[in-house]
Amino acid sequence: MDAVLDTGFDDSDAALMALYASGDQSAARALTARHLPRVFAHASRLLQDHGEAEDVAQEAMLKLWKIAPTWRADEAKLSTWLYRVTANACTDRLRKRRTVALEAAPEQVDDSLGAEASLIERDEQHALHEAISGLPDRQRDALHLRHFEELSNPEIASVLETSVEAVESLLGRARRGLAAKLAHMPGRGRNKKVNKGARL
Amino acid sequence: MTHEPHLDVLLNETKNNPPPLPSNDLVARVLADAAAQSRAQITAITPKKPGLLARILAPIGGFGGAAALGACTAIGLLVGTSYADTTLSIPVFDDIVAVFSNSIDTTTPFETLSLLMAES
Repeated sequence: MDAVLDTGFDDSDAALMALYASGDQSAARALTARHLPRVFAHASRLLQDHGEAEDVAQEAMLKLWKIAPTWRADEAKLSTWLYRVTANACTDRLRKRRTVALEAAPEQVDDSLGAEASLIERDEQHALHEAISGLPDRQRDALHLRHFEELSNPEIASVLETSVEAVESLLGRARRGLAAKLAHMPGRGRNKKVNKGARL
Repeated sequence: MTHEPHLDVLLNETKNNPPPLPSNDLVARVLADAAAQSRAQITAITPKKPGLLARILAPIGGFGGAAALGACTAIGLLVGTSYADTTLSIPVFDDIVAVFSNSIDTTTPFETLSLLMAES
């Protein structure tokens, strides 16, 4: 991707938006290089589906191109705006998923010992994502932005258009909800995980 | 915030997995969208190219100028046909045009104008 998008631009987002709005396609390449990876990673983590994440990322970037002529830098930070657009698009898709009951594909089990550890690890990651997906929308978004995108609480507040105190509350409830969901999942030894945590 | 070591470990494991990178195909689609949107915006704000007739009339002031010229021509024809009975050109002196009028009142402004035009 870098080879495609290596533009050498170090302008601010606002300057690039203005350049793009005047028809400069190299500014579009610079904006894509700067923001598409984060948008796509955010969508991938939220949706856990490569194809859907690509669609959401493309939609989010299309909204960016459309808003470029009227973009005002003093109103919002571009990355914050993109996180918001991406999170909203993902929320819509996750809600649709909940209404459509899809049968999960049967998992193939490998009997070898090495594969077992890998399978457990994958299973745990899958369980975590399932648990996160089951959280209320705003709690899930706050958790993602805090733990995976490593945004500060004020930045999360800006994305979710709420106060910092509300973000702290959302994160606290999200963690409690997640811990409760994971504790009730069958076949997951809590002690094992704590020991693993101590090893780290 | 509650401290959940089990949860922290899981979240850190997930976070430490390298995030997926957008494929070249996605990048190409995004850039194609950018180009298409840019073209659409430029088309929307660019004024339409004037038509052939407008371009022909532009040197005389466009449609307004053409209308004024047409009106003047009509008035000229009206004046000429109403007040001049005979118009002659003298072959030796190409520029001299004699205007004869049978009008009784020879002091009208139109007759004066006709005489002046003839002299020029």
